Amino acid sequence: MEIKLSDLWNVFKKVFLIMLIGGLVVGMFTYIFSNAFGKKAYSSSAQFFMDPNKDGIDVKDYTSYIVYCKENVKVLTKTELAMRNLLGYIDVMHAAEPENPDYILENVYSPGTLVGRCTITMAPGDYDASFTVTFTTPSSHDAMVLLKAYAATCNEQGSRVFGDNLAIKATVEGFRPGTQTSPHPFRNACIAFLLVALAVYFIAYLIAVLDTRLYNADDLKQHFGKYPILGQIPFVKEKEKTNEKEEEKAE
Amino acid sequence: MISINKNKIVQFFRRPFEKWNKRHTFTDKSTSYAEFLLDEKKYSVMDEAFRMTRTNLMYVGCAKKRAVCFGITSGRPNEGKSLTCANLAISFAMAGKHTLIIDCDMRNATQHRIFEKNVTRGLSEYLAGICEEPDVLKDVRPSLDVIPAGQTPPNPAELLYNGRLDNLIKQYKYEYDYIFIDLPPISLVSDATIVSALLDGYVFVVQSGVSERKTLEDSLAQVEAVKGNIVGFILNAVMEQDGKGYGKYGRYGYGIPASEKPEERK
Repeated sequence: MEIKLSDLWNVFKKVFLIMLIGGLVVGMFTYIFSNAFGKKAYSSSAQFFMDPNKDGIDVKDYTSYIVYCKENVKVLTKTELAMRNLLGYIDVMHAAEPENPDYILENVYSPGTLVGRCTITMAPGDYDASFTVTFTTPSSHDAMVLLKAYAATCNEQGSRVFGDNLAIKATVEGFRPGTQTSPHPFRNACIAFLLVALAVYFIAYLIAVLDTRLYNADDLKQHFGKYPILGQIPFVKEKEKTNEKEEEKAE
Repeated sequence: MISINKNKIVQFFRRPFEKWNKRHTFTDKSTSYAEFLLDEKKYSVMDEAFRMTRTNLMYVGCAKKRAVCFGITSGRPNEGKSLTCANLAISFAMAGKHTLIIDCDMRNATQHRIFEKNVTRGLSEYLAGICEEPDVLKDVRPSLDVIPAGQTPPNPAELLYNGRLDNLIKQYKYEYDYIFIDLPPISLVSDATIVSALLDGYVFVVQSGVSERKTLEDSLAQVEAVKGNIVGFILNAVMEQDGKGYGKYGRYGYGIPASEKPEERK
């Protein structure tokens, strides 16, 4: 089947308004719906600084520790065991200190619901290495609790693996609470607008292509050019009966 | 192997949008046609449209001394054949031509309803041999006579074969300038092709936005198969956005019954 640019343009001209209005209406609904019912999530992050306590320790010596911490974040949010370790630590600490808000989570988490990310950067100044951990949670407070718990578990693990020889500590600094990562009402509205506009156009084009009815002299000439068009009789609206009656009354 | 029926796909996609393209037809038998007939006292764009059509048709068979006989038909029913036929004949009559309409659509007789006349003996009675001559409705308009279809017979196609219509048309060809035969739709029944030998040409009424390309192709092929002469098309009920050359048409309508509220096609 041949697709002509003129056909595409003609269909576009015909359905442009429907595309625009349909897209705007659906986009608006999507915006409202996303805002009202979309599951909110905040991305909170903190920098973990690796601070060698002893002089003369080479950065290379604790690179493996940084790599361990980094990998742990990846594993943490994907495996049930690592997740259970982190949440288990918070539970234990909460049991010990029930009033401490650092060990109270506002939401219930299970493997898969928590999203974490870790990036490693070399920090200038006193600190030799640092990495950033980001947790995406329904509340900023939970992110803070998780970040602190994570730092604690990292340090526990670190001292268990490397012993006292490598006395480095992960410390949480520069905590940035809650930038909303989802839902994205405006982005969703834009996507809805585009999808609806495209769908309307596609359906209209399909109808136009599949429509084999004859509408005007051009259609007749195109398909039955062998025979002449003797005349074109216009379609006009019927006489309005109410007006007719009024005219009769006036007479 | 899976075979794809294109027509079924077309129907599937089209069905939800049928209402958009709905055009009104005179299916209601009680509808009055008077409002939609040409009137020499009133000028309308329809007058001009039929005048142009008349001018084009006058070139066909202009060298003949006898009456020129046109068969007005269409691919499928309810495309406005009968009303177009009547208005075309009125247009010729208004030009001073002695014109006759023969309602050959015995299955759906319309001409007597258009001109609001009662019929006792129509074409079907004549063809069946019940009477020697059909009733001719004289001067339904100045210079315009009508032979109505009469009662619906059980076998219209067979009646058209019996040769009596040939005699009738031969007789009237010397009395009239133009004869318009209102024929049934070609795609449904064979009546319209049976009379091909009697006609100088077929005029196809094509209703804008309703007539199917395939149906028209098939109908034209049927006429060509019986060596019928196709004079051309009359494009009927052309809407403002479909047609070219028409401005606002005014409030008076064509192709819609007065009893129904008009619907705009999208």
